[in-house]
Amino acid sequence: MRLSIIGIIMLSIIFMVSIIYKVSLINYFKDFFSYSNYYLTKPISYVKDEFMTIKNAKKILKENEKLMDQNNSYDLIITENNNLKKELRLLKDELELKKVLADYNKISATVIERDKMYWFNNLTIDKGIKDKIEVGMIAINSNGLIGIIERVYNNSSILRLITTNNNNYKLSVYINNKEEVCHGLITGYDYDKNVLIISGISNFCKIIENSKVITSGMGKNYPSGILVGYVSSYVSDVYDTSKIVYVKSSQNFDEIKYVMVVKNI
Amino acid sequence: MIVFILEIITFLIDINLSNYIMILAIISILPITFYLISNYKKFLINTFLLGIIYDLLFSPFFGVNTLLFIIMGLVIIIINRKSSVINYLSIIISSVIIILFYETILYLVINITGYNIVPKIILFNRCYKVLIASVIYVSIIYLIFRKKLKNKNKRKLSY
Repeated sequence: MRLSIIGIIMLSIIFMVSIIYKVSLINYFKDFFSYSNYYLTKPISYVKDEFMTIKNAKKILKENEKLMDQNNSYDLIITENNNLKKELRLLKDELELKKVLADYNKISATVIERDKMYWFNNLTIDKGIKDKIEVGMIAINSNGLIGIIERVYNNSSILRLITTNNNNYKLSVYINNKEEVCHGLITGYDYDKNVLIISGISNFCKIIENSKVITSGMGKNYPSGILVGYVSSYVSDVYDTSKIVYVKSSQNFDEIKYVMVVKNI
Repeated sequence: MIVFILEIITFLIDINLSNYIMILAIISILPITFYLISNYKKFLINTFLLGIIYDLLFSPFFGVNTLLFIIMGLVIIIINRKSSVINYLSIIISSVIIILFYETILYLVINITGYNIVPKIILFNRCYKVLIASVIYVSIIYLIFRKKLKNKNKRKLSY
């Protein structure tokens, strides 16, 4: 009895101090436990990684040879890219534009934890408020869009995957056909077909299968030009007023280790 | 002390194994901890603390598990009042009920709040996978604590 009273008094003092000094204790606790979780899983993931390395050694050697051949062509792409950047800068100066929708900063981060409760469908990354990460920013990797930052702590953040079927987070995207551009919103995820649902697309828009779906940048915190996936199929909505497009992401959501959080400049 | 060590080891197993298989180790051993503690008040305080740690370790929303763990503790007490024996079967049945309860409540919460609208089939798929792994884990723990559990006379549980 005495111990529980002392415990309650101690907890109230801690909460009072945190309220007075505006220190969010949950931030510190969450950071501490996220990192301890990460380091506790290190030994087993290290053993697993070592096994996988040995298993994949031959495959990697073959892939390496192929990549060496492809590498020569990258020099050309890099020079082309540099030229395009210069041209863009000149055009911007000429038009006196301070920014375009495709300008963004990248913050690279490591995934330190996966949602173990399964239902929340999110990842924890090792960057937070101190690294200027904000709620609503998007995370990408080389395969395109991964998710949206949902919560930010001092040294870690929670990233909600785009495979979450939640109507409250709508991302503005466009389908890049050869002939025209069709704008829509990511409104959910179909668990049966394993595809993203994009709605609000005009009925007059012509949809071609396998067209690229790209972020439009018409939002608060995310830039344009980021690949979301490819069109797999489409249907008309219930009232036949717009089209619903199903998009297959090129991402493997089970194997995400590193991400880049992007922010509009 | 034994319960404390068991819970730490189970947390470590939960943290490491849940990356590879679907398991709810700490939830599945709640009936065993109940019989080992043998005191309703202490058991409820224990579940409350476990809930807080579970929230800090695994949950993106603080408080969800703290509340759920206390409810699960109460469910275990109710199950225990209905049955009169401590054996392998009663422990497994309690664990299965607790896991199904936990998964169903979480599923309902995320669907009702609209956080992630998931079809029912995913709940069934998840439940049977979690149950297989968790029942195996509970069986191992039961084998380790078999003697200790047999010595516990259920009628001596204090209210």
